[in-house]
Amino acid sequence: MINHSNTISTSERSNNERQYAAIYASRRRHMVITFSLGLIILFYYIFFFYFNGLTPEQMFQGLDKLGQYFARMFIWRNVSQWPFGYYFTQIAVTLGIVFAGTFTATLLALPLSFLASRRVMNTFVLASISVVIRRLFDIMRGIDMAIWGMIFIRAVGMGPLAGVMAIFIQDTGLLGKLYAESHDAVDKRPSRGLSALGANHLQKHRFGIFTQSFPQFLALTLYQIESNTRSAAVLGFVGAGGIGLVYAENMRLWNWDVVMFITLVLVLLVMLMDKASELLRKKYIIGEDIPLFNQPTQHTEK
Amino acid sequence: MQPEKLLSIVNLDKSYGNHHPVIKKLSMDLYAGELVAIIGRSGAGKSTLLHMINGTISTTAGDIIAFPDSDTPQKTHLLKGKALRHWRSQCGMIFQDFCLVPRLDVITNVLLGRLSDTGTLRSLFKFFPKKDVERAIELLEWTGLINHALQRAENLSGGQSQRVAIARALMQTPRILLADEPVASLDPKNTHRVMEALQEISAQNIAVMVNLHSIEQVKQYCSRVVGIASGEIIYNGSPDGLTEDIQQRIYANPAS
Amino acid sequence: MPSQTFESYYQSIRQRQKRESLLWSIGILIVYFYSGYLSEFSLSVVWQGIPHFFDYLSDILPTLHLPVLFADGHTKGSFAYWGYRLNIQIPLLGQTIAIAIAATLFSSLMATFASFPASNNTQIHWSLRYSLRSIAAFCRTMPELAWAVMFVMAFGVGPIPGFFALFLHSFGCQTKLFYETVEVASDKPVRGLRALGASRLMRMRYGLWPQVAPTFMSYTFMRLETNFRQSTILGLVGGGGIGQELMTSIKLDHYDQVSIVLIQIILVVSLLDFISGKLRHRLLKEMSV
Ligand SMILES: Nc1ncnc2c1ncn2[C@@H]1O[C@H](COP(=O)(O)OP(=O)(O)OP(=O)(O)O)[C@@H](O)[C@H]1O
Ligand SMILES: [Mg+2]
Repeated sequence: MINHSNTISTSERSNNERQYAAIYASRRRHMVITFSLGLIILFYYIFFFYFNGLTPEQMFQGLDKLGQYFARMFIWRNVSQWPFGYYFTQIAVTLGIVFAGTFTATLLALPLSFLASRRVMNTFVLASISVVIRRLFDIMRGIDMAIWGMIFIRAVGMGPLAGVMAIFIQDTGLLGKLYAESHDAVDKRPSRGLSALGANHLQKHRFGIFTQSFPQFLALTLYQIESNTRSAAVLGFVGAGGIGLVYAENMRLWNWDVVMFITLVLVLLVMLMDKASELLRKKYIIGEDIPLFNQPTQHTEK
Repeated sequence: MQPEKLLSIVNLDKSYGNHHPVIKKLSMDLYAGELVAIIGRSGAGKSTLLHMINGTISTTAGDIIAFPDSDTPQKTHLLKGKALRHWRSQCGMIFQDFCLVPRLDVITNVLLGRLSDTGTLRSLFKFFPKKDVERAIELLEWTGLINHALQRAENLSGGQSQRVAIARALMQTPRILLADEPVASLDPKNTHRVMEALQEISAQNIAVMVNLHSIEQVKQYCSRVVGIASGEIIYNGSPDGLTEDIQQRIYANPAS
Repeated sequence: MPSQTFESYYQSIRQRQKRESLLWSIGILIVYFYSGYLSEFSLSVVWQGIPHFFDYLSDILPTLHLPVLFADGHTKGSFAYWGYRLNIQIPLLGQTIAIAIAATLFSSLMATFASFPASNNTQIHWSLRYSLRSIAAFCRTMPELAWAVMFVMAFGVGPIPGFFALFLHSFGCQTKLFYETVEVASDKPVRGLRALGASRLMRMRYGLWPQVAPTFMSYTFMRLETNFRQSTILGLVGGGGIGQELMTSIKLDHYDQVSIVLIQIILVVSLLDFISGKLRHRLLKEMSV
């Protein structure tokens, strides 16, 4: 449509030729990548199901059973005879486990996170300490909560305490790592400014780093409480207390309606916590308005 | 030969919600091959007019008729779904803030102009037909951006982005091109390039309608100018006829 | 106008801040102690329990004797003796990884499809939006072990029930993260595409997807790590993988086997962490979306 060829010089034309080649190559590469990615994924699933697969018979039977389970989830029978007190106590115990575990983890993870932070531990000896602590964090969070639960059952016996310890250990690892990352991500300048003022090490970290990483700290803790509420149910399956026990009992007894009920209650609970933490975040992370010092009055005083 | 009439706007009204009207009884025509400038104070309703033609803002009353002299005139403000999308593909739109897709490379951004004519499966996987790629290359060469073809759109300057947006609009092979303040954030050199490009496009028998804020640019590039004040046409004619007095009335304070 | 000195202004703000922090501290302490009461958590019990914990940790340490470190599997104190079940454990570990990858990929794919209709800026009918959101909330709130029990009851013991359990649970989690990402994406490209006559599907594909794809990918990598960790426990209820082995070792007090399995799990988690970090950086830069 637009003909400019007569105004284009030869060198420009050869440049353009190269550019065309690059464009076509890039489009070909895009096609090749798309197709090969698709094929790789397809083959992965084919192999996965081929090696682990079910016979069609098992498949149909299983789907049939699943259908029954789901159907039973929606037909609630004998609701008046359900031991609601027991259910809600167990939910409360789960919440107790979550709060106790996460708060305790926060208490330990915060000081440890400074020891793990590259920013704070900036000499050679300190840096090696921080590496050790980070590895420790990796181990703590690398093992699932339920496994920690089983291990703590050996140490402190069955019951919610093992659950608290499990959350405590896993969250110390997880929060410690995340806190340390947020300390490392803060702006450097305030710290420098403070050392120019003659602040000592601890003051520097308190005001230079923690003031800035505090919103992150709060957000991470709130998020972790919420996420633990959801995952703490697995603790009960291994005997570490809480609502998981109710799940396990009722699934064995085919009380799918109770399973549904408990899950709905948990959904509601998590939603409420989500709203609450949103409010908190708004208030403390985005920051409230502090009324400006009243300027007109200042003028009248003059 | 009389140039083809592409669009005719008849007694168009627009008010947002219950507020006072933004466009009042506006009537005008648009012919193939002209470059029409729309001028007016901020808030006069220029953007609103362009968006109503494109169909991204609904009208309150009146008609917008596409291809009124053809066998199949269309009231574009009544179109819905596929027909509306088809109309939009014939009526290119360029935004002041470009509205490119930042993470995609420039040539793909240009190719997006063909979306309405590309099969769903093809376009889902970004497999555009070869002739479209060729045309995109041609357009990029024309806009002088061939060297940036494989860069991400987020890395372009304002003038470059605007030229990509123009290439994308041309990729649709539109009959009408609407440009909402395409040069408002550009330096003089880029302004010149973009306005020149729009001029060239109008020479391809396409009607170009452009919102401008500078009388100089109107006089330098445009073949016709429409002055709007408080939603009404004050002036509609050659840029040469834009006297001081008329300018006064177009840019006058509506409150006074 | 009441006159106010800066001093009084400063004091009033300070006072309010102090009052608030005091209230918060008291509130948190109450919640903390009440939680402790509910969960039978007290520092004294922990204090007494900690030695047991360390006893257990020292119990699971393998007995290794330096002179016979590289002897064959029949000699007590050699590496080979410690790892005599590796030939069983490593395939199980592989199975766990396979389940995690399969569940992660599939759940991210499905969550991608679900997240666009589930977000509030894609002009999808609210009934579809809210049903998708509720399904996702249900899927992620039902514990993965509960899903696993259900699928094991239906399909019998094996990795496939584990896969389905993990898939459903992470589908729920991913969908939420994904639609929250879509909701904060910029509207500008979408406006541009609408004006050129692109259909709703195409507006999602080209207006929103390029903006959110990198974030989706990051979440997918993070999920892979989580899923691997969670898939190690699926075996507890018959969902395949290394979990069965681990649980048996813990319950039957095969102390040295506990430590070797834990080491394997930690190694894989660190490896996944490392690989996904590398891959993510490269893909973020080069991925064409
Ligand atoms: N979505 C909306 N809701 C309510 N009023 C609107 C809306 N969009 C625009 N308006 C009003 O319509 C009037 C015309 O707006 P429009 O954007 O068309 O002006 P404009 O001539 O393009 O101005 P500018 O030169 O600043 O871009 C303005 O008074 C504006 O406040
Ligand atoms: Mg405007």
